[in-house]
Amino acid sequence: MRSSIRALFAFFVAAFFAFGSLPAIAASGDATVGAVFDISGAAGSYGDGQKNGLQLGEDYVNKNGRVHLSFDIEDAATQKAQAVNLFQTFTTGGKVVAIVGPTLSSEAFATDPIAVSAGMPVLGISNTANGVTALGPCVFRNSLTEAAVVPHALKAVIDRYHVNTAAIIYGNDDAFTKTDYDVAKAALDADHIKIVSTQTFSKGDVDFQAQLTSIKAANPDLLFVGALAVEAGHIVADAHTLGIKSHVVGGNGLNSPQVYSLSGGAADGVVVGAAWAIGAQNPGNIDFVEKYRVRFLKDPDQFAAQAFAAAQIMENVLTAAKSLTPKDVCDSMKSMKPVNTVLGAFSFTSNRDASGDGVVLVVKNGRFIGF
Amino acid sequence: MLAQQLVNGLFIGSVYALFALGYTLIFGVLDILNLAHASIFMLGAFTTLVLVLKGVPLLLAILGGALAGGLLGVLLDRVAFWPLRRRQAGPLAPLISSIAVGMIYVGTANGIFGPDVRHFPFDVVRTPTYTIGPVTFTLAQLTIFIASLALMAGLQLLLRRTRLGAAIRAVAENPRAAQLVGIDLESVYAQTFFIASALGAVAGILFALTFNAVSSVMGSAVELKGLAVIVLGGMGSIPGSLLGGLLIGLSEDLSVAYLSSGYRDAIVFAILFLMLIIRPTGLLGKRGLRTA
Repeated sequence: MRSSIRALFAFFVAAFFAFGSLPAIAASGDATVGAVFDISGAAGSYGDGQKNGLQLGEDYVNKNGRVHLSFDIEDAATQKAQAVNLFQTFTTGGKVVAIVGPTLSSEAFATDPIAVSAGMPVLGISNTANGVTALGPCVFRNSLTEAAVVPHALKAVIDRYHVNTAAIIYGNDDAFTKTDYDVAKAALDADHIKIVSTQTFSKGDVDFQAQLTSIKAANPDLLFVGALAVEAGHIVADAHTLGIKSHVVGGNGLNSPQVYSLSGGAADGVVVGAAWAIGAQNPGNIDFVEKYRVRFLKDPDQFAAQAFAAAQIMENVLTAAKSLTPKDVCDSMKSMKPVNTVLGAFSFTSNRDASGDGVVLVVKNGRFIGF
Repeated sequence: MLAQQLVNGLFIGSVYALFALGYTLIFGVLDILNLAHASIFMLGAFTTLVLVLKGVPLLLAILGGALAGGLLGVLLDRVAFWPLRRRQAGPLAPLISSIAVGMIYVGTANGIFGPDVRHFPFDVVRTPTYTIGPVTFTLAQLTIFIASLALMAGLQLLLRRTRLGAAIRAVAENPRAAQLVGIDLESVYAQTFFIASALGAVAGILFALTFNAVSSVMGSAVELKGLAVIVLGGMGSIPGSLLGGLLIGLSEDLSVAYLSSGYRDAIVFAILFLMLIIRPTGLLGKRGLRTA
């Protein structure tokens, strides 16, 4: 028995030395980038769009032929522990030169330090909470933060309508929606708007009647929704049913067709501060939206667009990198020139965040248009 | 505002109660917790959604969803419980195998329908909204409340007035004695699973119609609440499920309205915790099903 255990151990040691030290890149110009998305679980509908966007992006890049890129897309199943596991696998496997993801900011706070200590660059495409890129010198994101888009949207509504009071409803168990709350509260306070009711919910909730009944009793002029698309769709529908007449405003999380598909006509008039508009007329975007519809039989959302942009960014980064090692890829990201993407001309700030103010959109007849 | 919150609580509470009935029925008869119940809740909703999208009228689609739920319950019994029952495994093994089947059901739904939240066409679920004094509710909510109560009353009648009900109660009381008087145990188990799962599926369908959302993870919203309901109401008691469901629905809504929405679930489970300390058998005792 003992000798067989010893033999097994020897086999694993031999296997480790035989296969564990294979070169990271098979041939020059071929690169694998890891991707960690929540394709199933509570955030599954966001990760699904990201997976689709990245797959479409992979085809686009490989068709261009400047670099041969393949994405190894893995499902974190909306579980932080699984996301951590996948980051460990990618950083120790020697196969990938960078990681795209994870889907949620709350996951990024757990996963990105793993990549940082391994010197692996990370490109977040949907992490919009404060402080994500501060985790390390190779943590980047192409998603405009809530701090960039939310104050703009609020300001636009306050300037246009008569707003004295506001209520906030937000998810208090998620870094992204909590950031929404912090940013919105600061912006409203700065504008001397009185916050008359603050309500919270949890990820995956579908019943918001109790919170909204309290909000209705406070009768605010403006209702800020700090939520991801699915919860936001339900909140908008419930608010409509209860007869809440406040101007509804939200951030990036609400920039998804799900907001109007889940709430029917109730979403008309909802104002959203976001990083991307489905109707943006740059040629790359028109082409992307068309191809996405053909391949996946639905409209892309911002998650899909940012994933596609990640492929476009990686194409430029990898082409310009001195060699296809994580260190050189990180250096190449730091010195990246503005790139034309579906999000428009894109560049990183000195803090490795996305630059820009985003767009303010409003839902009209079940579509997003400029506010 | 209080009146509206009470109405909100009663609506959601009646769905919790209906869902918890399935737990309580199976627990009452087999003394096991069926943790795959939440996945049948979800599959019932998906079946109805698919039927509605294929043009089947809503009422028929609901019946179809209930039937599918019932059959999946029977399948669950054959796969997860029957082999263990034959080997007289302890109470823990069936608990674990029901979790496994539940995960397979959720994974299958995820594979077929994807992770997106699906919804019914709005012309199917958009019902008139009524405002009476300070209270606003939709026709769908009212229908769901009445349907939940009617189904619970129906189950109570079935257990009390029919031959099958008598057989179920006999098996719940003492399986061996029931077998001695000629009751086919396996048939009673299968029928119990069918009824419990069909009710769970109907709860899922009503839940999906109320919030117009169907997704593979929708069961997790009620899974723990259902357990809280049967502990609060009394394991194995049908009136207990009703009472427990309504109390949990109400305490959720009132804690949001008057305390803090952040503590909603904490308050519900604190009530449960207190109940376990003060009255471990729940509000209406343990032997409800057997004496129903």
